[in-house]
Amino acid sequence: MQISAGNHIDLIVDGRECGKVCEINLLVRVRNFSGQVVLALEEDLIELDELGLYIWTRLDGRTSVRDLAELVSTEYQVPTKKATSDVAEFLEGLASRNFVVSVES
Amino acid sequence: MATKSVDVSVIERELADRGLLPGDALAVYCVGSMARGWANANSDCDIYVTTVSPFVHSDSFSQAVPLNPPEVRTIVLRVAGIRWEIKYWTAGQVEQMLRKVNEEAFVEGFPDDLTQREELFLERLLSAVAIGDSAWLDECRQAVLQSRFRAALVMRSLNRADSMIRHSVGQLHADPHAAVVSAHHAFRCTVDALLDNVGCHGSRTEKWRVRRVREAQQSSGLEFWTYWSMETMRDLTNDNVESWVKEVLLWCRSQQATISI
Repeated sequence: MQISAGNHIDLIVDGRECGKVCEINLLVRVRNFSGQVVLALEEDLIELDELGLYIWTRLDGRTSVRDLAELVSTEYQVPTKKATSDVAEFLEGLASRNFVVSVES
Repeated sequence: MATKSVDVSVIERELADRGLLPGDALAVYCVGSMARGWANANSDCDIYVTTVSPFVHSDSFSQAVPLNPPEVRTIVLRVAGIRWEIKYWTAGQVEQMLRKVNEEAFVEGFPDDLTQREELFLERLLSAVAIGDSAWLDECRQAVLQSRFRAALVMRSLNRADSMIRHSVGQLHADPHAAVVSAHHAFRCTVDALLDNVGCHGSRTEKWRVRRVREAQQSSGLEFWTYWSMETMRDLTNDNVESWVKEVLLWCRSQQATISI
């Protein structure tokens, strides 16, 4: 298994290339302050909303973006296309700050 | 599992007969494994006595604490083959320890200045069994529960886990075996955080971690056999070191999100 830590993960939406798998950067610290979940990588902080937390806790290095989108679609009753777009956008944001890495199986 | 339990009447009578119950005692209570129902044939009987003024007895010896007065008088004796350890804390010392875990102290960075002996005292209050009047003990227990003691212990366990995760990630390619040990340590710290979070403290006494996990599996959400599998490294082989380490570290990180401070 190769890991490419990157500033950018190309998660193409709209039916194309969503089989990519992401996992959390293990150096990211996680704290839950009375329900407010904060990710910290060195001095960089990100606060997760409910959807963000839902996705974050499923970044296990095995679940693809497509599968994550399916889970989000079911859990939050949103169309798959919208879920895919939301998941991809969220992960790209995290990747740009090195909070997640893509995994090539 | 064979366990020993507290016989309150025996303790009270024994202390009284030996002149070990000061007249100004506010509370006498059994603590530790005996109080928690975890004691085995080799366990000590640990007893705390809270007094108004320091207790002086010719058979006692001193244990240092960063409090005023700066010592806890302790007496060790054997009763029916069991080692009894009796510690005499003053009410003033207890108040000082409670101040160390209040909101103000938490913000300033507790628990670095709380010694093991003090931490053990506060932790043990929560599961203590009163011998005689329980009013003082009940009040103190409430004070601990309303303090930031729990949050501070959770934070410490999480911070330790962070540190071990960082070591493990760093070691993974250069020294995978070291990474395994660090990951295992991170796992234990994370388990401690889960247990601390539900008030099942004891990270300073590792020998009781299994008991704590078993006792708190409902409230902590950590199922015993899940814990046991990782604790005993059941799935680790020579061929899967890297994936095992990553699996453990991912588990630690995913748990962190669920532990509300």
